[in-house]
Amino acid sequence: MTKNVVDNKNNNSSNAGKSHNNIWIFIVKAVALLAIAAVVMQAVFKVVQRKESYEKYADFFDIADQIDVLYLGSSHVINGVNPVQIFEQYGYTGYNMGGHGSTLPASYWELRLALEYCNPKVVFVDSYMLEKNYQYIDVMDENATAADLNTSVEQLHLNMDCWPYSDVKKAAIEDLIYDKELHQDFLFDFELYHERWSELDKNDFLRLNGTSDRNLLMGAEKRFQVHGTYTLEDRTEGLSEETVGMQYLRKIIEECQSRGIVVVTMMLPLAQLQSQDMAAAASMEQISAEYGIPCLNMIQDTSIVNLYTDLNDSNHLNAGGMNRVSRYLGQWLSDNAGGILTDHRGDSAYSRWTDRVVQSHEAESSYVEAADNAYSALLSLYDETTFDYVVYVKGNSSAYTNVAFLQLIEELSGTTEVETAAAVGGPYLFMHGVADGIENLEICGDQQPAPFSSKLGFITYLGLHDFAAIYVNDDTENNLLDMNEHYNDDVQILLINKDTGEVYRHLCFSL
Amino acid sequence: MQILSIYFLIFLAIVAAVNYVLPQKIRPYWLLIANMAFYASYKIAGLLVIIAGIIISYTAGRLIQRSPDNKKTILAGTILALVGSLCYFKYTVLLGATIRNIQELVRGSSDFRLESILIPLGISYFLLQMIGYVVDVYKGEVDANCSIVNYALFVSFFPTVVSGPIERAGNMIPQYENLPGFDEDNIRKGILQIIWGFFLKMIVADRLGVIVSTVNADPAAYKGTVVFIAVLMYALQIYTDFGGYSSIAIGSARVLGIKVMDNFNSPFLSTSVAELWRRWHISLSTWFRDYVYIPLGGNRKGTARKYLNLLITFFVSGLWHGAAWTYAVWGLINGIFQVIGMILMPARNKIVEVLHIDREAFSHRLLKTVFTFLLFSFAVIFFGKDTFAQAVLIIKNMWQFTPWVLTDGSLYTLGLDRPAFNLMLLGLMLMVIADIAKYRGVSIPEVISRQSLWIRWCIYIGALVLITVCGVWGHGYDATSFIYVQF
Repeated sequence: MTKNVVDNKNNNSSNAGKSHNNIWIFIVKAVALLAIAAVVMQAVFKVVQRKESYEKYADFFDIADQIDVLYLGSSHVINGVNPVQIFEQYGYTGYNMGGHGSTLPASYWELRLALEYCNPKVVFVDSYMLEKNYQYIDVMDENATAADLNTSVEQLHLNMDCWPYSDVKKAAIEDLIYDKELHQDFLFDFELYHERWSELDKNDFLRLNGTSDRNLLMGAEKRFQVHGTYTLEDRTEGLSEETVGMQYLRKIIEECQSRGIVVVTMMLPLAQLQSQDMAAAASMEQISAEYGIPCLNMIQDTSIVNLYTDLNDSNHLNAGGMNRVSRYLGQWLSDNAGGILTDHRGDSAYSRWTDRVVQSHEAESSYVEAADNAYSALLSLYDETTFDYVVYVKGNSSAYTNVAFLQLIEELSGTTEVETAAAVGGPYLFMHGVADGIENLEICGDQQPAPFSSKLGFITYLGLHDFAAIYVNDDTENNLLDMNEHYNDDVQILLINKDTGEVYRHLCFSL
Repeated sequence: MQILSIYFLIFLAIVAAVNYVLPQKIRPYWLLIANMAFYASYKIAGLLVIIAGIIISYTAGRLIQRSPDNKKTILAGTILALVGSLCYFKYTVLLGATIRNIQELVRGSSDFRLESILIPLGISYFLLQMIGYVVDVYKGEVDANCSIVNYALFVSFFPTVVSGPIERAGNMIPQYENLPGFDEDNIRKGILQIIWGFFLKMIVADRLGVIVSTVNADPAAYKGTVVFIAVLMYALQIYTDFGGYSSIAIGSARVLGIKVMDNFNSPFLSTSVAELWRRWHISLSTWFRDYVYIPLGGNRKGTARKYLNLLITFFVSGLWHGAAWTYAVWGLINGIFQVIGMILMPARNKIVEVLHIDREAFSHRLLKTVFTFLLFSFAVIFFGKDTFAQAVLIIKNMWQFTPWVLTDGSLYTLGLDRPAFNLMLLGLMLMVIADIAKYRGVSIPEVISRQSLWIRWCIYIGALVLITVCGVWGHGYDATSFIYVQF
């Protein structure tokens, strides 16, 4: 019996020793397993994450230290300011930080987050929605519907998801979102996005090696619709009370000034003005004056944009409007901040910017091909560099009574000749870069001009009210215009390959 | 702290790590602290109830052992007190509603109200454990001279206190008296079981639940095969939901070196309702067998009494599940199925004999298995329904034969899109494979734990990815939504 007890004790002690060793080996293995699991989960987080935010800010994180100008605001800024164009034309590096539906509080936190990564010399802040008197985007005001709140929260994700967890991000979410349960969706978005598992595509997985889609316009997005109308409002007094929007505009200004950053307020052009927009613009001017900072009120400045042709919808600029506003801002920077900004064109360290300029031009040819209406197609031709083109507007088309349409043609041709065609009910033919020796050739009304040489060959044009034809080298069997299936279409566009002189695409549209 | 949360897993890891580092003597105290902290994390008031229950039942056990002459009185008093507290906490509302309904029936109106103060979490489970302990001491099957710490561990063991398995003192207290040291095999198997539990719950049960809830939320709007499928899915949901919970609980206990009894043993492969109940919620079924059915006389007092005892046991078991008469009816139906099965046994045997049916043939067994599953699914219609009218409406609507819903995409309009639905089916297939393996005595955790390190790690990490990515969780998800937690 005694011996047994002793044996048991020995066994226990030897087991204890074995067990002790096992624990340490187990701990090492467990740590290794957890480390591998952490790496795998990190990859999983990246794959399932919604990509819009990452795509918009991918370049920002890559070259944040090269950014000299930030453009803050709502979707108006996303669609209104093209940093790539400004770099191409003026050499100033900037990033479009606009967020869909971003109120001033959201813009303030966007700035705070961006300042964790970059040291801009100039910050533009669009003051649209200055009249909004609420802080929490998931509460908004008494008029907000459930759908509004949902959209508002969704939109904030676009601007927030890309930022890694930080104290600033945590403070931002706490300041912008009232519902504490929603905080987790922003601070640990895997909780939200793991549900994307059933919709993952190739692009989601390419995120792992950094080759997934990314925004190529330094945060900007082009739109290609044409609103075609606008209303103007008289100037008014500023907002009647100090709104939350105004408080946060002040915070943005003060934050910038405390860091020695030049801050510029602005209000981008709008087509359908509401009285509160004018009041907000007036308040913006007052606040800017108060702080002694520049203010660019473009809200109805027809010297900067063509309000007929440059708005995508009532609120957002289209590609044409973006082009003009970007040129305007670039010129303003050149005139007013040239001393503190450097022209980085030609600097090899800034090759990303040069690449984006090239890529943006390469992308332009696809815009016109993707156009689904005549307005978008004409708008897309503004910056067309890959193709020459022919625009034909049929006789007696309703297009001749459409001011926006005529102005689009005028923007393209640089003349008002189309109005001559409109006066006689057409037809109208416009050739860009096609006819030999004539950059822009316009032929209005019933005409059969003498045949002329072109990239395509020897062209014979026959323009009648009810029929038109473009024959090449006397081949009357083949009309380049479609007078059969698309006879009733108002507009036909031929894209001509600059190098080969061949017709690349034939687009037809009814208005 | 919800068991279906990362916090629980962290808590378990900390408790286990400290437990294995501490000297043997201190471990019970550490585990008890962990148990109390876990329980208090739900509602601190509930902690007082469980502590009071521990003191009462432990003292009763000691008194029974010390005073054999009074043991019957002490037993009766203790059971009365424990059952009374269960009734008070759990059935007050049901009692109030029943009196109100009767008054409304008689007088036309009633303002009678009885509200429960609170329902301590897991009260249905730990009170049964306490009652079982006192009865076992009374029968001399358990020694009441254990320390109160070990007894408290038995009652409040955090992996099982919320929803079981309902353990026996004779199995658990000896384990606490000699808490095992670190054993990697235990941890490995425990983790695998936890993973399986999370898989069943988050991948399968909660997806089945979406379809079932859609149909249950508006039973009048659905007719035909869709309802029939939803009924079958409800049975599968309950199994995967509670089976998932049980796996997590048993696996968590295993991580701590404690072996808790299995709660399910491939129930849907059973060939009779009686067998199904031997494989379903085993800890509860055996509890009712040992502490209700047998004390009532079991099958020792004639056939008629046996049937009656069976019906009483299942009626009480149904009522135990929930404070609503629909649960009682669910239990009763299961009892009736078994009674009918027994009554028809001679006739069934005769048919088998006359038709020369091979009882062991796969086709015969499959037929019986399917029929058993259908009977169980039918009874389950009453389970968890607020009113009988709801259940009756579903029964009425489920018989219309509309098989085109299987092909015309109707099934994808019940809250799950095609990928989610397919994933659910895949999960169910895995569940069936695992159940068949278990039925044949193959332990999948055993097989996996024998594999080389990299295979095991691939399984762990693959499961982690699958569950976190495809699992139903996140904002708006109720982690307390285990069906059996509410009981």
